[in-house]
Amino acid sequence: MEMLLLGASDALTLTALVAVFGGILLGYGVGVLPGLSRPAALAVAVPITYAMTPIAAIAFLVGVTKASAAGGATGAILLNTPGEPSSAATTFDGYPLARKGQATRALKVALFASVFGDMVSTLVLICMAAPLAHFALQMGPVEMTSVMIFALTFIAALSGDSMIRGLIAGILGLLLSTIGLDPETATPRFTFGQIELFDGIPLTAATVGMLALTEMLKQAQLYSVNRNGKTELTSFADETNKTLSWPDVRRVAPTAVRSTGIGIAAGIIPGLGPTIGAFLSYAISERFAGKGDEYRKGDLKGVVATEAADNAVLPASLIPLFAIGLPGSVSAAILVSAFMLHGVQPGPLIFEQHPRLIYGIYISMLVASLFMLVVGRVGLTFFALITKVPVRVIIPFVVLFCTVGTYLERDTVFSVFLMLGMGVFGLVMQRYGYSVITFLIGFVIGPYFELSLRQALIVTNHDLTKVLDHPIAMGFLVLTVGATLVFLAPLLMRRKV
Amino acid sequence: MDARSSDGRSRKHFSRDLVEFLIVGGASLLAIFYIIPAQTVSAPTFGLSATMLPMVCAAAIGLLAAVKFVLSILVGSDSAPVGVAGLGTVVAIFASTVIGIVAIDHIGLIAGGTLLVVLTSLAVGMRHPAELVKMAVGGAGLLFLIDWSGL
Repeated sequence: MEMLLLGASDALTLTALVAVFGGILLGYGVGVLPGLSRPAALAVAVPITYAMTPIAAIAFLVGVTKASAAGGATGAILLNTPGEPSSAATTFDGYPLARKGQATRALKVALFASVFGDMVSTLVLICMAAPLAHFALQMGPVEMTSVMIFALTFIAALSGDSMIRGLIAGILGLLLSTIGLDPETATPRFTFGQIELFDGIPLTAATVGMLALTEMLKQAQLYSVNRNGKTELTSFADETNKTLSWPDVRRVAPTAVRSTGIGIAAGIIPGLGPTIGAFLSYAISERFAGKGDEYRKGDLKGVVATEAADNAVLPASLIPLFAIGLPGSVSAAILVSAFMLHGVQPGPLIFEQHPRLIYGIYISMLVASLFMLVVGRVGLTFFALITKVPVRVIIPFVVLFCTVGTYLERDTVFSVFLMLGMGVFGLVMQRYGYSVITFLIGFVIGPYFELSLRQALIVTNHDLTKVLDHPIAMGFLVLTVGATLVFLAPLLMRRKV
Repeated sequence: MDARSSDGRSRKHFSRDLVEFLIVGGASLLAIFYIIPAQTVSAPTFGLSATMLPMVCAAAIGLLAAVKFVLSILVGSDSAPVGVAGLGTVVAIFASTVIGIVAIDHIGLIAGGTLLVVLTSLAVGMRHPAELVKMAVGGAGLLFLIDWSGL
């Protein structure tokens, strides 16, 4: 108790509070703009914290990470332009909501879901770091492969009206994810002699191109067809209701709780990360859709599902970091460098050697969640004004954001041309009924799946029967079979493929 | 609906489904027999060969395309008509983006990005000089902020 109070006194100093607030502001800015990734912002921010106290430094970096997750939803909802890859899934329902004239409601529910997921995950971190870290240690390559196979079954779940076209798109995403250096032999694969493709198609180019740029090309086509000299066209219907009522909150609450749990699981398991967590959460929530739910047509539950999971990942990814020194995500890995810069070695001894610091960080994380709520609530009033802007003004600026964001990430025009190509490809896919969503799922999960499969085959010496010795893996495989039957049954009964 | 219009629509759908099958199936065959062998290097591995996952994916795509085509004949097509109206604007935006990207690479982020905004504005139909100037100034201002922030 004494250490808790001392830690709280450190976290609630003016310096630490200003550091948290500064991190939140920077994080929101990074999150909103596509191409300015969270890990890149963290990597740039770490040296800045050199002159700060350890608690202020960690609080600042945690603020950046938390707020970027929440900020990514803003562009996703208003412009179909995810600021972070993990916000790509938020576009599925966020943007349709904005088009229907519910942008402010979507932004509000995204913010509240983000803060809820973040705070609950932080409390789980505070209370259960040690036992959950032990679970993280059990996740080896065989278990990770089974988790990935389970995640891939959701390609069928999210295929939409045409399951076969959805599967083709998902498998195509998996195929294109193999572009780059082979993870085992480091030999080039489908690079066509281009060094820029050695790291594969950049995730930002794929998500920004196929979501934001494709949408702008569609809007431009519609605008050209419907052009009316007398009235100014916007992409969005007029907002008649900006409030989030208690019935709305009660309706989305179970989704928020479930999605937070999924995000916590994705954060604890090293290697999954917020992008997979958000996509998985959306897929699972859609499968649990009830009567009246309108996933992918603009449902608040769709936004809650992704945002709660996305924001629950970071605090949970600190669980294996604090407990056993194993970072659960790229952001957590960068935080390791910040810890070490300030003379703190993450690992099981951290609770014995630096208890005051740990409790101070916990309090700072809770403070960061509250600041995120305040900053987000004030900011969304201004962000929602974007819905009043005519579509012929929006399109050039979104195209600019897409181009500049992709360019800033890799500093090459090659990746920008890739983004443009993916945008056109996404437009062609949508026009002929192929799902961009399933493509992106396959594309995101592909690298993790192949790597863990290879590791699993090496570990088991290509003997599949050894999977029986891994109960966690068997559990996920059983879930996979069950999920596949659940997804296929209604579609086969309708005889619609 | 008379039989003649029904037959006409069926023939149109069949043509479209056939073309879709030929493109998707053909692409998967091209991948299996040419692209994958040409673009991967055989090397000894402990886990999985470099070609395994791509081959399985390409084969699965080809198989699914064939199944889709057969089902479209047996059960009926679900292909929706695709219009070409407005594609000129799409092409114009594509072209202006290409020019803008080249400009960013040659004359810098701020100047190139501003040119991109102006060209895209022209592509969506803006013609009034005052509007174009406002768009250019807005774009340049945003780019200057991004450049100044150091991110």
